[in-house]
Amino acid sequence: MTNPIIQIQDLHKSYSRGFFRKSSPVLNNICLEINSGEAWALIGPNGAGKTTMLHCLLGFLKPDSGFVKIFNKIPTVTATKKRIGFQSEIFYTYDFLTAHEVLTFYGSLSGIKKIELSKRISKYLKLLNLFDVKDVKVKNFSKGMLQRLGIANSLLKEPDIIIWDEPCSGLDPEGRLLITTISHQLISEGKTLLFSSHVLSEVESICNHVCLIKNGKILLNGNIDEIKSHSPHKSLEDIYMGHVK
Amino acid sequence: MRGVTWIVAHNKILGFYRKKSWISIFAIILVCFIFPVLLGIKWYSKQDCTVNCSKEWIDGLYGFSFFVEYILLSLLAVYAFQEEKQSKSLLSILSTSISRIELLLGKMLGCLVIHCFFIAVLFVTHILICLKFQLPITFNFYISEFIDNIFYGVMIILILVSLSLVFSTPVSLSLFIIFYWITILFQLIDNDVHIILTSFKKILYYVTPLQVEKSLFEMSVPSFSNDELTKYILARIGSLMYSIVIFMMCLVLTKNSDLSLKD
Repeated sequence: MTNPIIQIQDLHKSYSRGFFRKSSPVLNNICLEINSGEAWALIGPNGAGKTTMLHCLLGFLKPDSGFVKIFNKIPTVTATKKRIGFQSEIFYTYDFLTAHEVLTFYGSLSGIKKIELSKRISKYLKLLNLFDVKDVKVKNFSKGMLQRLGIANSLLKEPDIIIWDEPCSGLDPEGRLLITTISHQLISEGKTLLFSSHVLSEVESICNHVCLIKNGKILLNGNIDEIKSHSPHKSLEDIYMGHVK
Repeated sequence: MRGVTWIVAHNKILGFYRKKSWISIFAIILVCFIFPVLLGIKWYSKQDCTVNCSKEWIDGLYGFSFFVEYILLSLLAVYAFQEEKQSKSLLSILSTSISRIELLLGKMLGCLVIHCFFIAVLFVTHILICLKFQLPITFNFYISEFIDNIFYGVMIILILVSLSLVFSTPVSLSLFIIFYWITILFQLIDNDVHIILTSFKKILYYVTPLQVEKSLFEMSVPSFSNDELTKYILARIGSLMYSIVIFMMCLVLTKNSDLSLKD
């Protein structure tokens, strides 16, 4: 049996809200193991805990109990962070920088050497159709362009694990197709992909595994084909609706 | 580590330079300094006042301009992380391979470079005005003011930047006021005011740089004789150590806290 590269065990997370800091649970007893080269999708209704789970996975949030391990180490270790590429729901960055400067900044922080960084920036800007606007300030970018810049940034480290939080939000059909093509390319290169999405057709076309979350609990997880074979429903959308409703 | 720290600092400086609002604030500070100085000198010359009157006026405003600059520096320091949290760009920065201490030091270095630039501009402007109106230049005063301002800038940055990483803006500013002004508060308490106050002061005397600050309080312009210079240096080291302790406390607090969702 292969050793999973991402391990989530008994993960609990709650947020304190309001004046009296009342605790409300967001993640409840999450257990998940992801092997190298697999493509996983996190699906679930709004507020299910998908983003919180991804943030715990990246070490932005500290679990209340349970643990997260990536390559058998905690995710905040620098060596581990170097092997993870992350793109949040909206690419939050500095609007006073140009696209090229943004990638140079984040690439330099990740310790990529200057010459190599320059090559990679050109490569990923071309891949995401942003090369022509590399000297345009980010504040003049549309939502889709910003999203594509975020995807370029997540690939800049050439990581082993790619984590995207709703990568296709704000993208036009052409942009979505581009992301799907890039995802297939990454999977064929043996990279591990984990992303959250609401578009189930996109999930089916990219991923071989799925994890359905609702109210902070995993309702369903595993190989999509196996799930389908054990379910009376034929499509992932029907299976989703059957569990969520 | 050094390289990454500088990259964060450079980004901070670039942000300051490209955001017109910050430059406008600095321009206002400079104008606030230059105009009253020119008006004051003109007024004093009409009053047949001695050179010393003009000199006192210009030196007073010089000190006041630094006070205004401290306010700008405090805003700059407290927004070092609040801006990142509000715009959520902290998420993008934390997803790189940077460590939290590198991030903190980078932000501090950025603020310090901007602060040093301001100090230098105000210092040069002051000297130029003195030369223009043929006013006497008291170098001891300028040098001690120059060093003091850089030093207190470092203290403000150390305390406020690290607090702003952990707490929200109002809490950071409130804690900063307590931490920063606590020494001055206790300088105002007389030794024999009250036994409880005196005891409390004695306790703080040994845990804060008050003991060395007090000597400085009595001596506004150091003459740089051996004894006074030692006190002067000790006062600065004491203040710096005090700030570093707060910085370390904040670092410990951030190690086990959630960062991405706070604003």
